[in-house]
Amino acid sequence: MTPTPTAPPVEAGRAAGVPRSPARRRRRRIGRFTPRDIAVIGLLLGLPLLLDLGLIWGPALASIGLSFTSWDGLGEIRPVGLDNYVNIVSNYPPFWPAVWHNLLWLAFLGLVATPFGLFLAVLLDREMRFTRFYQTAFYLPVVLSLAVVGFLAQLIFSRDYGVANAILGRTDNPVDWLGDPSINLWSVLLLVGWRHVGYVMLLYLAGLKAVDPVLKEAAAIDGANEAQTFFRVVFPTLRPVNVIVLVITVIEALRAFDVVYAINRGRNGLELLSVLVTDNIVGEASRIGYGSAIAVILLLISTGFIAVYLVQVFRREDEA
Amino acid sequence: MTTVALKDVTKVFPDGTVAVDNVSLDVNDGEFMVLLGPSGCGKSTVLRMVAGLEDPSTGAVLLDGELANDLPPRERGIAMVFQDFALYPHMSVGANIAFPLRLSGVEEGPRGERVADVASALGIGDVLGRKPSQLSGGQRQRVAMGRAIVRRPGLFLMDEPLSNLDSGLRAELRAEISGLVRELGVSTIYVTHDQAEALTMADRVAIMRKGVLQDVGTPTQVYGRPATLYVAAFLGSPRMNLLEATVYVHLDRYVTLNLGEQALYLPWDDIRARAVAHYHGERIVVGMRAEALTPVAPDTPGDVLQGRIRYLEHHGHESLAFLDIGATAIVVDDLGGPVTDERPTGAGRGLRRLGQVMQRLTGRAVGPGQPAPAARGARDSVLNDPGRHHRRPAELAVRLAPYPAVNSGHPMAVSVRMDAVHFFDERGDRIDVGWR
Repeated sequence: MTPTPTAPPVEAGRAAGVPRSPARRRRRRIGRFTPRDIAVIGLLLGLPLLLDLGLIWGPALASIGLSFTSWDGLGEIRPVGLDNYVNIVSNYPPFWPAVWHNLLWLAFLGLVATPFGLFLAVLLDREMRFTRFYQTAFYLPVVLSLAVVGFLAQLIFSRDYGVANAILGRTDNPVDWLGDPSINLWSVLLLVGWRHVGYVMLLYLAGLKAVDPVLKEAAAIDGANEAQTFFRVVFPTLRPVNVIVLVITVIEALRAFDVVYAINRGRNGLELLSVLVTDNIVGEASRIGYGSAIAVILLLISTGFIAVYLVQVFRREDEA
Repeated sequence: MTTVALKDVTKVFPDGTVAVDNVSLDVNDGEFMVLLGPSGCGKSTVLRMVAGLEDPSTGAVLLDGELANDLPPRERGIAMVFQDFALYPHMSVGANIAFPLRLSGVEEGPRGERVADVASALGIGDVLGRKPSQLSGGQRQRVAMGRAIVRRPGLFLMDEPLSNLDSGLRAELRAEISGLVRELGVSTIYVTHDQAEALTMADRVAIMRKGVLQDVGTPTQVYGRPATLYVAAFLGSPRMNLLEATVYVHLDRYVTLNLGEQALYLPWDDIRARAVAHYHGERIVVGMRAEALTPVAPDTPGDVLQGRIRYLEHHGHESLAFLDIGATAIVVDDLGGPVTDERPTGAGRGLRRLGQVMQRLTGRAVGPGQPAPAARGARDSVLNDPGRHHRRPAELAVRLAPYPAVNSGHPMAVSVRMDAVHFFDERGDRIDVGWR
């Protein structure tokens, strides 16, 4: 592919060394790209942009718009203002349990699974024997899709056929891990946490590898024991990884859907906001406006968390 | 303050490299001991063993006369200054310096005072609020020193602290460090590869090469009477002239040192004559520094070497002339280069392969704990192989006044001060009488 000459056709008959007029010089600077270049850039940037706008931003904005309407998907769209929201908050039984479950999900992942993943990363960073094997073993659950994890949950926690009850020896008075609404969320969270730990572990392991070992030596000589070295010297340098881990945790918590849907379609103690959205939009009695409103609530919660944290981080970086 | 004693310390790394080979060294109270040597000679490993960051494979590390092999670094009463400063990037300068005090439980008030004192003594009192990334190299090094000083330790360990700085700054900080350490009266072990630093700062110098201690002594001792050829070549700028000489003994009269086209004569009443006479018919190494050579008129009698100037180096305060005198030079390698790797033979090779496979499986270095037997104790001859066609002609370095009235190609004669000449045998050991 030979590059096309950039001289505009007007210059073809020009003598060399003749000074160009200012207007033409200006045009040369702007038109540094050939038409072909512009076409290629346009295509490569434009197509993904169009797809992004069309498939993500468009529907998202449309959802926000639709949340103020009442629509069954086929008939006419009737604007109803804030009615949907009022209805959800006051008159929709699964709503508040779902919010509570999402928050519990977030709390469990953020306060139990993530620190445990960090702990494993610190242990594996010590390069003991078979460290590669441990890393693989802990990361393997991440590779599983959440639907598979839901299926595994059933294999383990099923009341009559599950492994957990068999091991505990309670075959005649079985614990209903998945059916009892007071404990089934915790059974699910256990498995989801198992998966989340591997993910977080890998991120922190990468972050720890980037820590200069001389810093740890300097801290050791300055008089720090292991815990002090970690919390005062190593952990503060992991700030970028912390941001990533937090964002991922929040997203995972609020996005949770597959696991509970695979177990029991998200009812009876396993309600989640995402499942409520699906229930309202997909299915026989589709109330698209209603579902959109729930989705918008979910969007607000997600944005809220992340915005607050990022503002904090950027403010701390400005002070630094 | 603290005294350090290393007794037969050896360090063998898991992959078989012998980093430190049977080193015994004493550092007295308040002494400034410099470990000198090229990269990879084991000096940093020795320092880290004294610090407790590495465990010796065999041997004892004694601090104040007590065995310290099992003491963790923070219980040894030491402070260390690293080559790349090792400042905590997320803390301010003041927090960096205060960190060891904070860990040992000093309250905030006295802590702040001590930090301010140390900072003003080092000239960084006005940057206490900044982060290390906002400081220049020299300032960072001062912060690192401040962090070490503020703890009032019994022993300073410094691992090439000035090698990351530019040369002007290096000279300035060299004097500062030296003065500061003497004022505090703290024992110090200082590691460097720069022989000028070693000779100017040290109370005593220990020169190492490939894990083996070559020589220990005051700068005057190691410079004036180097114990091995390597030490002679390593210290001093310009480098000592090392010539190959064949010895012929004329009993009761003199000993001839045949340098090729010319010869030097050692009178029989020189006390070293008898020691050199043992090597009758053999080749030894004759070393003379540039300061032992004086330009004289060509027909001067006595120990005079005739030569032709090969090239001149003008250093501003002096000029160096390099003469061709028809002699062969002795080349001492790895005066600054990396240590070459010796490949084990036969069975050793197979074991190493297995070690590599195991290493990949377990993610950890697994290998023979014993060093390769062939590597230790073998010392080759420093003399040229007689069959070689390439014999490097000697270039005798002579000091002249700045910008002399001579040029390349000029003939020049130099008189040799025989009492400043050194002799080394083919293994590199000094030929001498008496102790040093």
